Amino acid sequence: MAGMNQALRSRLLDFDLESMLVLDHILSTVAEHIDASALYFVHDKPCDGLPPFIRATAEFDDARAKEALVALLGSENGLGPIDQLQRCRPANGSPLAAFCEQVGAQEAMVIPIPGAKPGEWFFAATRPKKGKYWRSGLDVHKNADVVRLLIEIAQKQEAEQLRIQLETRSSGAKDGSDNFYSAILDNIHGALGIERILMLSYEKRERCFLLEASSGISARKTPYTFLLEDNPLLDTLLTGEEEWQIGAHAQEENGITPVLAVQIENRQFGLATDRFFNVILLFLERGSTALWGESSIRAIIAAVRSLLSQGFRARDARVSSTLEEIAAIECTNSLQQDLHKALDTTLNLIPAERGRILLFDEIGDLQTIATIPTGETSAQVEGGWGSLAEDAVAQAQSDQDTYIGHFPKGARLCTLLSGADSRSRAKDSAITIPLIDTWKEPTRLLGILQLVGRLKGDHDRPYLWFFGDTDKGVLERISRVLSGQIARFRLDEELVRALQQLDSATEVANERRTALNNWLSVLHHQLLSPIEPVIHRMEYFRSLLKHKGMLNEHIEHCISDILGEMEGLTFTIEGANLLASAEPDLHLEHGNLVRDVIHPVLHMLIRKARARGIRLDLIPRISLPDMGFDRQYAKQVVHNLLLNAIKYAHHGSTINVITDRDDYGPVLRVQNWGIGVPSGWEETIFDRGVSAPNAEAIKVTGAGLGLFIVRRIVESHGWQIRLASNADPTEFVIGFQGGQE
Amino acid sequence: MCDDEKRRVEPLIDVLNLLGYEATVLDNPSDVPTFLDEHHDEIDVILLDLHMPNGTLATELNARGFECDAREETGILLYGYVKKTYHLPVVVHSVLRGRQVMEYFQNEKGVEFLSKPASSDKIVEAIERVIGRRNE
Repeated sequence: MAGMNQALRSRLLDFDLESMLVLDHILSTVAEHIDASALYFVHDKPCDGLPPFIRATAEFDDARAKEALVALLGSENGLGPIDQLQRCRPANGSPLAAFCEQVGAQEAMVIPIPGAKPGEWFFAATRPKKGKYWRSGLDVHKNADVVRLLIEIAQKQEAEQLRIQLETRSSGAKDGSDNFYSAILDNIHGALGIERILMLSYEKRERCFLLEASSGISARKTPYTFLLEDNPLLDTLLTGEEEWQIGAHAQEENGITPVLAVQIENRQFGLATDRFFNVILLFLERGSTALWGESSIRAIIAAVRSLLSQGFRARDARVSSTLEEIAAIECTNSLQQDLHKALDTTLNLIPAERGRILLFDEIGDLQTIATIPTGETSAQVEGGWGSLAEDAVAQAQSDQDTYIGHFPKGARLCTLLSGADSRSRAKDSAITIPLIDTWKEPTRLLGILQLVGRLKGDHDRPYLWFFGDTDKGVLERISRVLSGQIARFRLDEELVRALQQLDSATEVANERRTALNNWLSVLHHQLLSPIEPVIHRMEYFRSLLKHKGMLNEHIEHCISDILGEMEGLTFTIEGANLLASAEPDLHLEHGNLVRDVIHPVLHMLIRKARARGIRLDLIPRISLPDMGFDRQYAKQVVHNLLLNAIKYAHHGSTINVITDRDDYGPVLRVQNWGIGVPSGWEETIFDRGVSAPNAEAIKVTGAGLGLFIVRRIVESHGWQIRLASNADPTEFVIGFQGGQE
Repeated sequence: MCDDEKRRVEPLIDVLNLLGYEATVLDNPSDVPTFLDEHHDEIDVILLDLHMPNGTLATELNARGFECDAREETGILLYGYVKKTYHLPVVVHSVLRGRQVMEYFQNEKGVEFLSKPASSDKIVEAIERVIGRRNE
């Protein structure tokens, strides 16, 4: 991978104009994807024949360009047609001439860009006085005037964009250039809204300032130190030794270093292009991206793919192959996926006594270690992070081998924490964030997330240098996500356990129900089978006695009672069987309900009613039409309703069975005058196992199944049943609407 | 009559005898095919219990060229055989009220289905109905 890295770097460093166009396309796409307000690529390689003093480009139409040039040069002399622009010297007293005088330059010229398209051109070049570049201090305000002039030209021409690149070769801060640049910035700030100002330094004694100006957005001043101190990416890539190394590298490569500048949410980031592509390479190498920057990589890949799909073919084979290489990157990872992966890993480790997770930063070299002990109580959280951090570091010290990984720029993460002063250093280098479950009261500690670092080699920097507020902020965000995930995981785990228990219980219940149903089925068969021989035997006796003239009324009653009891027993057994079956199996026959069902049941129960001094009356208000019904079950319905009525009716009262018609069709009413059904029980009274409290109060026992069975049979026929009146009379009504005709 | 619990159908036989029917009971379903071979001319109606141990009945029927599934209820096997061979009226009489069983018999013309327990009157009515349909 290192070989590939080097090969790509060498290609990138040799980018020509075409390559820059490619990069420009890429960067604009990247900017869209990462919500950057701007993203620019600047190549400081001077055009042939142009000294790198002042170079500015602007795009406007020829007439306006000419006007602007005239304003700058002070004369049209030698200017010629704008598309045939040659070197032009400024007239005496012109702004450009004044500028030369002010800055001590020998001459100033306007020169077209070699090979530039019409309308795209460079202008204003000066040759340094005496062949040297700015040996001494500059007059800040004079230079600022030049800049202001250029800006005014741009404004006058309504230029969409004005780029000014100032490049100096000076002796650094001693020459007052810091003040110079600050003044320029201040002037620009006053002259035009500045969207962004990027300043990048890549050699100790050589600075390249890039001023990007466009209208409409308020100015922002960006001091050199700001870039370095408040820029996480620069902090990682361009700070410290690396800063100078890049500069040295640039020198090796003829002083040419492509620089990428990015602005994200009002923060500026800059890095050398080769570094930028190193990110991609590291991404490839690691197969993983992390906390931020992943979207940039994805955007770059998308941009390259888009470029190629639009038919772009680079003339330079090396550029082509680089683009194809980038386009072929399988960018399947995402920040979310990575986080989830980390979280999953964490979750898998939670049940263990102690576990770790690894998270990668964008560079891929920073490994964080999360140590997640379990079993702590919330009291330990209240003790503060310090003790937890110390404990965690102590654990880390006792488990050195687990801490691997390294920083770029030579820093390494905690390969070794032993040693005389390691503990004090470790305190600074360890960030420990408790993972707290705030979903439950009291809050409890789920674990800790810990990042431990140290330096590689002999570097003696404080560890804290590596783990600043940004790192802490990232970790805190991660810890919140982790806490939520872990807490949710545990809740899920509890839920899963509960569901498993429920499943087991359901399975056992189903097994028991199946066994019970089988048993009921067998019992049903065993109980019903002997009833028929008894019935037949009684019928035989009755026939025999009748045949012999010995059948008197008393014997007939006795036989009828036995047959009635047998039928009642049959209803009970069939009712019990109904409780076990999902739906009654109906043996539908066409018949007359009064003749085939009501009469036989009344006949069967009449002696039972009489025994309680109750009279059973059939009142045929209408003639019920013939219909389809299961004779056995229909009898059971009427039998249960009448038996209930007999149980609860007052002594000496009458029970009416009425064939009638309501708004919907024929109905059967069963009325009794008795204890009634309490108000509010109109629906409940049909539920399984329910007996009205007033029935229980008078010690009339029952299983509460009679009306439940009645409703099941009635509904299986497509009929309806309701309690039409609670008392005086208590009236149940069966409607036959919807049944089989 | 074919019922594996002969003792329980004896009261019905007594009633039927009183009513002028002559009834014979076979308590082993496997004996039915041979009995039919020998006496089918003397039989007006067959009363079958539905749920009985089928013993070697399926083998017996298969040997007679009547392909059947031994897992079927014995009463259904016997009814199928009677329907195919001697076309005799059948009354199936059972405690079982399975929907499929009842639907099966409801669609058959030569059979009456009765749920147990049924009074002797109901049984005689069913016998006369099924014989009447045969004579139509």
